[in-house]
Amino acid sequence: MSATTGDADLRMRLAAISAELTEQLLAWRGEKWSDARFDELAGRIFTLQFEASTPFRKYCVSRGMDPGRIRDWRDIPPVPTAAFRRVEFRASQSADELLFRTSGTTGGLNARGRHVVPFPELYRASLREPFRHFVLGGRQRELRLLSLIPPFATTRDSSLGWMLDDVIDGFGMPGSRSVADESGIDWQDLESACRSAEQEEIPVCLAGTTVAFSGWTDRLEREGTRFSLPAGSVLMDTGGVKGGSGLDRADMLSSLLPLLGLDSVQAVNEFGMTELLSQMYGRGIENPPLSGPPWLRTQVLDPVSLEPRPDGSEGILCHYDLANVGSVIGILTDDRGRIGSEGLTWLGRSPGAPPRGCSLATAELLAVQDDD
Amino acid sequence: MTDGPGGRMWHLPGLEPDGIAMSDSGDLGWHETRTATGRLVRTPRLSDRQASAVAASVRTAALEARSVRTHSDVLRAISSAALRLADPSDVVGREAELLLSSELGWSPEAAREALAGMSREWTEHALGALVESEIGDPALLDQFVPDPTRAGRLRMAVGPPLQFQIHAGNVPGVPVTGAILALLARSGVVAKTGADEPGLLPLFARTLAESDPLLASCMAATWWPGEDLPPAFARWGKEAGKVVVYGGNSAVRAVRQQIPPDVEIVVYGPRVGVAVFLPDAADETAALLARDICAYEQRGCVSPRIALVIGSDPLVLSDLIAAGMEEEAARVTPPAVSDTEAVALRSARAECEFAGLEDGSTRVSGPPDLSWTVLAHRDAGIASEALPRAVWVYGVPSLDALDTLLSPFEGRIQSIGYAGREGDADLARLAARLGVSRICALGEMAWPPPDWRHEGRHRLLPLLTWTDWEPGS
Repeated sequence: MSATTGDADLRMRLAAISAELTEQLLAWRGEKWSDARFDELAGRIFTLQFEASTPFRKYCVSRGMDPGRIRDWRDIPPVPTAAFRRVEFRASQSADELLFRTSGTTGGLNARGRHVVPFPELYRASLREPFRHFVLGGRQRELRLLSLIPPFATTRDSSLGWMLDDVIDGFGMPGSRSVADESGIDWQDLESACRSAEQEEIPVCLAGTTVAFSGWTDRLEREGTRFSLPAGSVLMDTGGVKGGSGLDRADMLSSLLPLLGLDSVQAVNEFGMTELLSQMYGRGIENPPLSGPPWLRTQVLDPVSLEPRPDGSEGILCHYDLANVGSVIGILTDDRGRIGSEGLTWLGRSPGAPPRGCSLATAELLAVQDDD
Repeated sequence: MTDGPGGRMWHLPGLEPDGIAMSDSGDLGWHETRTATGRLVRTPRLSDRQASAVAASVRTAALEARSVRTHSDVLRAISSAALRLADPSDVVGREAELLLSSELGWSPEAAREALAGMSREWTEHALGALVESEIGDPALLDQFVPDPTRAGRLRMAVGPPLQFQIHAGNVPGVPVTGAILALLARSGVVAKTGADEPGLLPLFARTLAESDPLLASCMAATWWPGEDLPPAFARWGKEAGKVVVYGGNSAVRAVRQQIPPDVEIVVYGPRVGVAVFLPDAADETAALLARDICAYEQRGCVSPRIALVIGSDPLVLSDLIAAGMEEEAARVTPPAVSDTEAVALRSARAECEFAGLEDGSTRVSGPPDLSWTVLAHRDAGIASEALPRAVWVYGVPSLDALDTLLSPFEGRIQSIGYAGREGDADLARLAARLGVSRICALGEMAWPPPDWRHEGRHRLLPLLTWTDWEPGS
């Protein structure tokens, strides 16, 4: 797909709104935003994205939507995540832009989604304060951050790697680092870093995928290794559990946390998507409700009609992330969830085409053969 | 307790009615699940002894039936019981419709149409034709018959006293046909039904019991969760002389692990149907494809989910297919899509829409309620998903390109439906090379004749064992 780039004036206006938001996001300290503030920003960003991105404009027009018809942010047509596998939604371009890719483990049709990020400073702003607020409890340079995610430089396409590089840089005490590279996690390095922190009485923030922590749990149990991490330490897992892995996050944490000397309130679940620049977090082990920054709003929709469902009922999740100035702000996911008074409960990726007897997807038919 | 339309989801002769709730080792309880529509499915957990008792009872009944029923008795009795399922004027037929509606969420007319379609192969004429085409003389199923190919020799062919059949439960009626084939082979049959549609086979057994209780006691049917055989049902596998499995590799493997290695397994694996529009295909044939797609709500391995268009514009053709789909929706109300299906359909539509957003090379057709979907691509492709009333249409430059496209699916294509004549012989040869079991006109894909060789094999013959008698002088 060729990129579609708006003219210079449009690019300047997008850069201006990106700079304005960057400033607002970096100044955030946990307060809520009014509907009016969210709406005003969403409307301005949508108008520019509509003009700047040809595929997005075509998509909106085919649904009878243009900036003149938007009553509030909910009217902005959300783009399905599947579209990111086919089209690059680019509202602008810049010399230092980033390109993130989805892992490609889901979606079935063998293409990886691409999310272009022309405003890396806005991405930085969108992740920093929420990470400090939800994960570090407002602390800065009081914990040693140990990441089980390879640094961005080794993979060049993971938004998670970029994010952890950045929070290590922004919030970590000396000694903070990634203990992984493209070949995997250096468990000895991780464990010796934990041991040092224990001895120096420096709280740590461990960050990694749920699957990686599960692997560590097995290793610690097998080798009989135990830690007593200093008070104030945090464990942040992300990625949840992909369908079919059989991994249960709560079970895994119930085993892992005692091995580290942590209790359940020291566990934080991060929810992020390549297509969203902002993240949500939940504290606890039993599928904790998620909260995010006020520039990210989520709706629960009826999967068939796409009408909003009332709070408390299950549906598919649709996110509006104002930090997505460089692409599109509305993202329609394949995730199931529910919004309650505590926040958003993520109920997992919708399982995809359910089996219909002996009639299979063509990809599965080929898999059947490979399996023979 | 009430089991809802269609009644009990099991038929287990050889057990006292009270024996189910109160087994010899105390109350073992129930297997429970719900179909996609929320319909409760409850079947009894059986103790090892109970499962063995059922198998023994079915086996004994089958052996008794061999001596007191002729092949034509069996044919007549099972055909007339099966046809009652498809007779809307019969109380059994109405019950069957309600059953399918409650299990699958189908409209009454969709249920009626599916039953009518299945019943085409349940008539005495169709079953007789099947027997004759596979073994020649039906008397072979009753007694020794002189072999016309070798003077002095006599032959007889019957199935083992007990067969075990494991169904996938996709197309309603397939388990009924499975039981019918076993009974024609003069076997007793114990069957596991599919979780989506576990009710029709027990209803058939109860219907048969009204007219011929002995034949009805030659079959047992129930459902349990998972692909593995619970220990009690593993006995069925151990005691059966033949095992028939409808399902994928994991289902087959699970069964194979639990039966003696020398017991033959007849496998009906996952397959797909493909539609091909040859260069001279007439526009009207698009509507015939819509019929094939909507038959059995596209749950069968004969159902097309890919249409490959040679030598004309697939986007233009897709409009015609869409018009046909709309007519089908007006004729037979599609079931509401589930949340899961909705997400997958929306994602598939988005994928197609965005693939052609810039160059107009794709076209998505279908109503907002997602009840049917046509996803057309000007470029060649083969990707599709198993979603309700959904078809992927691709343009293919030539028959050679079609060959390349389909070759990876050797042994996985059940049938090819086609329209047009230009190159049909080449297409048929390609079908033969790919192990396609049937190539036919569009509009006929869902309704193969009774003597069709499902997966390219005989249907009755694999269930039979031949005995040659060469009398001494």
